[in-house]
Amino acid sequence: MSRSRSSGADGVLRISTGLVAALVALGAVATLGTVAFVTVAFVAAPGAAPAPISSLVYTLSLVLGALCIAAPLALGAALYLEEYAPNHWVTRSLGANIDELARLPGILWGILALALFVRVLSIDRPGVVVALTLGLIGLPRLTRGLRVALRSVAGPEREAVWALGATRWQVIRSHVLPLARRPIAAAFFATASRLVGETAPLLLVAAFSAPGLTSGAGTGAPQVLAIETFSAFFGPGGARMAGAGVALLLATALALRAIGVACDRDWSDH
Amino acid sequence: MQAVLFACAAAPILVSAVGLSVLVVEAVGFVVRVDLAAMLREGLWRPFAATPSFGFGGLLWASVQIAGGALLITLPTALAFALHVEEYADRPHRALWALVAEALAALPSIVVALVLIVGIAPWLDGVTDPRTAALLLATLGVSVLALPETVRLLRQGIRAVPEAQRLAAFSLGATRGEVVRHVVLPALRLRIPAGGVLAIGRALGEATLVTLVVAQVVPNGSVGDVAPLALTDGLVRLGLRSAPQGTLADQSLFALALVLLLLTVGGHLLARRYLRRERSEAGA
Repeated sequence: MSRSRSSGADGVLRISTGLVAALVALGAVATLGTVAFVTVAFVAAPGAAPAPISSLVYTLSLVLGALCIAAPLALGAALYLEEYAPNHWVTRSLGANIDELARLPGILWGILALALFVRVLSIDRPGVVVALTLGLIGLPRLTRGLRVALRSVAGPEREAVWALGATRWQVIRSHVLPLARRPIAAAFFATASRLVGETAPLLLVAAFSAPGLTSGAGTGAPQVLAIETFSAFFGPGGARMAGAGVALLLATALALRAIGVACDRDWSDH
Repeated sequence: MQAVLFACAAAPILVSAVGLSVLVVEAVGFVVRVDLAAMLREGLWRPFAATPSFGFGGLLWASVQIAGGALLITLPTALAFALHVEEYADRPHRALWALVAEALAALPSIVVALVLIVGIAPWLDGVTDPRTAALLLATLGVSVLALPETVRLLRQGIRAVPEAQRLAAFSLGATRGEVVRHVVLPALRLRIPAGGVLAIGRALGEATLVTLVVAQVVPNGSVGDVAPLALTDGLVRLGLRSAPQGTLADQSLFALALVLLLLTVGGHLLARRYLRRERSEAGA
């Protein structure tokens, strides 16, 4: 009796988890479908503005700049925490705090960046402020990704080099970094994919460092894709006018993520 | 070399500490200028009105509703998804499910906002009043956005269950479902609350989606006219009006940010405590 009851529960568990997973996948497909539909409707509409390709190029260059700012610091931090740091409360709390920063909501980064770059340093070039803000947001996330990447190098591979008498730095340079190059590249692409879609913090710093840009007034100057898309929601056509921007954002974020996943995979044995 | 690398690790902490101190100074400047008791008593957040009022109770309550709703949606969904991918799915399908999880993690919030506004909002039209509709849509949206992180945490936990324990249960005649219920789920007993707290933190902190949904679904939508519906919504609206430095409205931006910061960091600390307890129990 108890046998049949428990196998009934098993069936329910199996079917319900399968259903929920299918629902999640369906949601992902429906999201892509809706974005595609809105984009097609937008492009097919008479008098549609050209897709904001120039904004995408501008955004990607800012993200690249942000990664260039964050990369040396993040790599240094990850190397310290994974390779050098003694197991001590100072270093443990350092790692935990960086993880905490990586989870901080974007909008709070916007306020911190506003305080730092606009109020304390009074930088008055919006492009620079946006790149620095993205660098600030990306730094802890990239550090977290790089730490995972460094951890993927197995212990025996290090120990073999240690046994040959190499110094710590030689081990890192000749073995850890080359062996971890795939996950390291993946961490960069994953961070870039998140930065491209950041909207709220950029809205904040842009509003304070260049008033007028966020109201959607066409100044002719290139604009960050996320901000332009956000403004398009409040344009004459409403939400549907944001279709092209949203599609570009989604395609870019997914493409960067896909490149990251592809980097992380060892293609040689397939 | 070690000193240089240590400086790299300390840099993000120091930079955020400087930003944080500015934030706290401005927030304190705000608190000494307003009547705190009145702030808690009043329900309205109208920083730009002729006689501004800064009651943030309403914003906080809406944020709590959204986060609570997101918890109820995200946690069971993430658990079922993680169990399906790790325990039930066939090996060839597993990579496909992992791709779905990756794709979800890459979704920018503005994309989810568009789908809600264009795809789902029209169905709610006339069924509920606009404010409730906005609240429901925002809850659904932040649930989707909180999903990937929660799924990742739970999948890590499931993968950490030793294979030997599963095999032992199977050899005693347990079915796959019994293994899930009696071996895997008990091993997740601290990870599930940790995932829940992280989902709440993600839901509380989501700004773009909530602002867009509220401004689009509540009539006469344009940022600034509609009363904000959550802490983050209030922050974005304040930010977009960019009040001059030193004014009460400008300082209120930092005060509101401090409230959000304390809430999210508090949640993360709680999640970390659960995970630490899990580690120490696993080690014991």
